Amino acid sequence: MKKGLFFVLLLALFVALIGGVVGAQDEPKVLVTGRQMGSSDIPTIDPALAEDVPSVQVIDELFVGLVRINEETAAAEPGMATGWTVSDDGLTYTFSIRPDVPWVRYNAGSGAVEQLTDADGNPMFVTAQDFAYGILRALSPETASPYLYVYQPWIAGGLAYASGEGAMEDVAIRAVDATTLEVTMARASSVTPLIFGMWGFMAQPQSIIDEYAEFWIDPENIATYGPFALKEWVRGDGGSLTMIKNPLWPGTDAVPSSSIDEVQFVFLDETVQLTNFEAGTLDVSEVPGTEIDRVRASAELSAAYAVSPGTCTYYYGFNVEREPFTDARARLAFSMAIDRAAITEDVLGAGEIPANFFALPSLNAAPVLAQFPEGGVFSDAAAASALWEEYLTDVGKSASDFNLTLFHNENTLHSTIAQAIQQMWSETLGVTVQIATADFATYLDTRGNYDVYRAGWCYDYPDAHNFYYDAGFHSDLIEENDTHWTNSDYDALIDQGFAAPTVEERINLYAQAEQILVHDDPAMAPIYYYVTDDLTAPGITRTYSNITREHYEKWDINR
Amino acid sequence: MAVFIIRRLLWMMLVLLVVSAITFILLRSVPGGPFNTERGVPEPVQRSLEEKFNLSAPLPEQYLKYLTDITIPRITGEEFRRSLTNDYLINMPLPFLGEKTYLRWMNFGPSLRVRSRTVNQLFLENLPISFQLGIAALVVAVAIGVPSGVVAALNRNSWLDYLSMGIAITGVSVSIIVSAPLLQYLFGVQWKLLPASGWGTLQQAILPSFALGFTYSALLARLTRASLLQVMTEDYVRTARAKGLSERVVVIIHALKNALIPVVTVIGPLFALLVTGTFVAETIFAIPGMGRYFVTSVTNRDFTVVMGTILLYAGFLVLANMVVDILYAWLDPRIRLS
Repeated sequence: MKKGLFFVLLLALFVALIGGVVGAQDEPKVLVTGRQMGSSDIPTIDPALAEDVPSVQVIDELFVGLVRINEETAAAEPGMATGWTVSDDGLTYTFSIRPDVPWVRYNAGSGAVEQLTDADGNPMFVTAQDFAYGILRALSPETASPYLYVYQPWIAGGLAYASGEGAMEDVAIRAVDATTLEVTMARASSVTPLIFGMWGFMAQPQSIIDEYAEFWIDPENIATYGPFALKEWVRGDGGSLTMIKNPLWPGTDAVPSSSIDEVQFVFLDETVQLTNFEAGTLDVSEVPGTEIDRVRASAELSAAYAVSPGTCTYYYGFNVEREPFTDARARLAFSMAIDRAAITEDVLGAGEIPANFFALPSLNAAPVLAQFPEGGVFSDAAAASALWEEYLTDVGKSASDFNLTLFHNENTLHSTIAQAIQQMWSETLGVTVQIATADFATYLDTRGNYDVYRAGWCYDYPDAHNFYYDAGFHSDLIEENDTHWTNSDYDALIDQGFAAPTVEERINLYAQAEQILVHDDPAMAPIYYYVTDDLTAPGITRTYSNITREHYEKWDINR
Repeated sequence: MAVFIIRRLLWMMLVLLVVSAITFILLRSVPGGPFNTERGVPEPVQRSLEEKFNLSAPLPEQYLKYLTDITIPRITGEEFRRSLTNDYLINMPLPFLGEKTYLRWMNFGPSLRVRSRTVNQLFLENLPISFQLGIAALVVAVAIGVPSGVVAALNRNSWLDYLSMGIAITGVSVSIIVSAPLLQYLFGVQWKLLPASGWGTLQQAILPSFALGFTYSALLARLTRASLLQVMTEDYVRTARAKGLSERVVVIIHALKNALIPVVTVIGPLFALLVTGTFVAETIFAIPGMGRYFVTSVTNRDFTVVMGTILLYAGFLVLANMVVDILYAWLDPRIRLS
């Protein structure tokens, strides 16, 4: 009897040991990240409706565009298209689409990612029709995409359709066969391929969307095809979204098959992220501005800390319909009176870069300081003061005659920067500026009624055109421009820059446009370029994105 | 009793009607809307969205439509296609009226900001989490507060009294904004005993419920102490003692029941306060509850979510007060519900 018990125990121990070893080998590689996800629930993972960084991050991993934007170089690489040809007039693009990518869905019952079949039981592959449907869906006024402004001007017939004047049939998109998509653009430009890397222009599953309406993006309904599939989505602020590796993604040069089995995005505020990172429960964490000094001082944390370029420019817009900003000299004086280095070093401190141009230097075709050392606007208190005096003498007023208001949305960072600039303007120009704040919705609605307002622009596709045109300073978009500024020379330069064939020509044209925008007839004062910084746990091999969203299929975990 | 409950429920309807009207008016009189973004919204898009979500009709009409959607049940045999604007909290099949006949009731509308989720889904998925947290915190508050109040009262002016009241004062004075990150740092980061954030396991519930419950336990402790001290001087307690009952029986059976009346009075609204006041705890501990929607929906101008959460919380407060009134009658038969 005793012997029998001994054997049972021995056997149990043996099984436990084997189980332990096998278990260790089978341990899935799971990455938990809070990077760029925000602390609120992701609004959507519908490609046609997404507008914010967290949504786009997830969409870019569940779907792949015809073109894939390389996260390190920001260049357009073949994504779902193996390649494309352009007609001689530069207008018609013919994409060859991969024939071997199936639509998939994660099955919670079997715990596996499964290929979807159509009503007749045939496997569903991503086709040119799916891309045509997806692009038209993003352009449809009925879908009401918040990104319609960016999408509508590109494809011939797109603007008319989007604004409700034209028919869907007149949008120049044609699926020639299952693997060939032909698209005719409204205007020729070297920027065009980047547009097909945008999230709204992903293939979308018509049969699924027709069946489940807005709920098609729920994990039990969704169909995707990218390197990851959707496993779970705990909705709510403080929730999470988990992606599982899609084993049916064929793996391409630009989008390899993932080494990581699961990526869990958690929606945590920066402070909570750092706490979890230090507790060892988070692999990639953001750093709250107030903790940067402590992170830099700690040997352990500073080794995990990295700063990458951001995708946004922080600026102040001048309302050109209100005194004194009706005069370009006053606007330039206010812009030059801002000590940008003091703001990036003393107020911010994560390595942000003082901005003398509006467009981010990392963008395709953006003029950069190294090439145009005299260009843009520079902080210069003496010159600002002299120019301001000249203006005051001209109009016969004194600085105390102006009662100006600076407006920003409620946020500690904006408020600290506003107070610093308020003081700079007071010291250099002798002007008293009031600061007004409001919550974001009120701010967006009313900022055009104030003298100066804080704003930021983050790029949608990595080309300077996105800053110069889509941000609203081109007169096409005057409705959206709360500075109410227009300049026909600027418009002409932007139009020429868009059509110019070589990058060199484009940069030169944009440098002239930039000179108007921030110096000669300034609409705004660029202040600084954002950076993204994060902490990565040891044992993780990763790439560092310059386009905010990461491509986790290129990461690995070894610990 | 039944009459009392029915009357109170009718009052509740009236209260909710007034609350909904005030909320609606306030919401629509501030600038900004749910579709505003930094990029701006093209005119056709704005029109199409307003039409889809019934925001283009005159305001009184919108309000009436909203009220009808949430209050009037519909019995329908039509083919039903669930969508953002067509999602009911109650879907009851009525097989005796026809195969596909359903009673559909309470459509709180879609979240206008998110456009992929309805307010009903929010209630079903996020409210239970806030509820769990609120109940757990209340348990902590009562479990700490009432016994320490009793101990303090029975050992009046002894070191035990000073100790428990000292803790109570600390609890009242230290806000959750201070205590929660401190607990998180000590137990989560420094000693790694408990998860620093999240929700779902028992371990994850400990820190937030303690942080939230501790503050209110202090209130209960002080109240229990004062009330019990007063009751202990009553004649009937002296009579009970004179009958030769043991001190334990005197305190627990005779004195405590009466001493708890003021405590119960507080527990009702306190429970409501805990469930509706989880915003800070949910933010610090990253708990996917309702509390944060309650706050963020306002700044997002997510009209339907604001209306839904406010009606829900208002209804909850009224109900909690009604339950307290019923408990009164049970604790003290001299109190008549009518």
